[in-house]
Amino acid sequence: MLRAVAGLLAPDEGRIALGGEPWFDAAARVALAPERRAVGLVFQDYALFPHLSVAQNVAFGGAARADELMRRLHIAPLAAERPGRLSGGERQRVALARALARDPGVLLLDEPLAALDAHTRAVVRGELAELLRELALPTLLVTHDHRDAVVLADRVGVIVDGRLRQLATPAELLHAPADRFVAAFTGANVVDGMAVQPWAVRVVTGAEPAAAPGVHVVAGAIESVEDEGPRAHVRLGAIVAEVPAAQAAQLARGQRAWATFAAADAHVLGPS
Amino acid sequence: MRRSGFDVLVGVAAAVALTFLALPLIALFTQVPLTDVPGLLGDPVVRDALEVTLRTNLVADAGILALGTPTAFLLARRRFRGRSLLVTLVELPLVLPPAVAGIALLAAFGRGGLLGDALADRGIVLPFTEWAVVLAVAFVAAPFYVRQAIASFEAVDPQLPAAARTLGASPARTFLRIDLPLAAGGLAAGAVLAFARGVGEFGATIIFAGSVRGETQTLTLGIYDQLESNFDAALAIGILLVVLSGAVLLSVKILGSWRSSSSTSPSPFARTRSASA
Repeated sequence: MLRAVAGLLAPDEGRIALGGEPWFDAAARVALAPERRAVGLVFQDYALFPHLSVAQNVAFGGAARADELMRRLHIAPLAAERPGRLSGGERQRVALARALARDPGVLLLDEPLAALDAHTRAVVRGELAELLRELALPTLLVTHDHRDAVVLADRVGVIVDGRLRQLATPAELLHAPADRFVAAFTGANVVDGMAVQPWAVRVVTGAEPAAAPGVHVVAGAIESVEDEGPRAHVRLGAIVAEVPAAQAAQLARGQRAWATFAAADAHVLGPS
Repeated sequence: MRRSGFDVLVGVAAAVALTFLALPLIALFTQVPLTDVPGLLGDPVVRDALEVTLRTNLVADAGILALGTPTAFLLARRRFRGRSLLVTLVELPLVLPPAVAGIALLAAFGRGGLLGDALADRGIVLPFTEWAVVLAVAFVAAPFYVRQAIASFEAVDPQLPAAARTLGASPARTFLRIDLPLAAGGLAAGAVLAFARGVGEFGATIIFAGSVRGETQTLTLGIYDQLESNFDAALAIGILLVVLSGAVLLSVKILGSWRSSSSTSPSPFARTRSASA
């Protein structure tokens, strides 16, 4: 999709326009070449030019803003280096600076955090969020990780099997997923046609909890307990619950337990 | 450790083969006193042959680079119907017997040939002129360059020129600043191979251009010419060409290892293709 917006490939039908200026229109036979569109595309593996220095890479899109961008993204000290000698996070910043040097009308980010190791990813995610806020540039970001969507996006479109399932704010996605695909994407449990987030599920051991109006109970055996610091993810049958670490310490694999949640915390899913 | 019979057999076969390959080369350098060689190379026949060879090959190589590079770029980058046919056409002179190349060139440009009469009417006669040598050399040497050039352009990660386009570079600027520099090592290796092949051409040249001293007699044709009258001079030319071939082999190896040092971040594409023609 990003390649289509950038002009690197032409879809069979549809229309792509920025601010009313048509870049692609299948019906009207308009198809602007990539260099005529005001895009800044950051590839998943950055596609930095290996035979040019960092400074030359950044200046390729536009020499005027190169210095300022390198300073802003903290890569000025690397100006004379070749891309092959940089770390993943550094390469990403060079790729960003290069795309921005063109003063684009829209920024296209293809899985910007995928090529980073887990530790760097969280750090860079935060930095990227701040940068995007500062730039105030329309940005299209593609990711498989819903945490990226939640932290970085104003609006999120969930595409499954080529179909757009829902276009909403991250909050709406979490609390009112349109269907089970979207629910699964945000990490929600799908139970009896309802989506409920792990933190809204409680785990009860010992005796089956008494039935109460508006409270759903699912029985099962504990399959795994994953420690994630102050809280832990407990897998009970097909349901994942988030419990405090203190409680998690008491749980054992194979132990019989019940997962409960209030209907008020769950969202009824429409037909998918 | 006991040597098995198989090991001995393999060793003997290798020894015979290597001796067979080395013997003629050794003989070349030992049949004439090496101190005589510079004098022999100073012979006017040899000097004329050297000049013809250098002039014709440089012109032919310039043509090969100028026309072969865009050809290779097109064949590397675009997939279209008939592409494999064109690639085969480009590679054909590689396996074509040189004498066949010569007679084919005559059929095209000679009297009564496909274009020969049309050209003759305009006062252009190609066979048995220095331009004929240029054409013969270009015809047999071009595939060496173009094949290598196609491989070199294909080895460039396609994401890189795509990135250049999204950064505002026109197709021309993308080619000059991205594709060409990244393929340069391989292109140079191909050019060197084409040069070596061109210098060594004999069959096509002698049929299409003849062996006119000072005009169409190249170094290899000179060897043939001097065989009866001045064997030592023929040997001296042979030594010169062996040294040239050795230099070619060396530079191809060096240029080949240059390319492997340019690689983009985690791209799987920018890896070495061996510089084999």
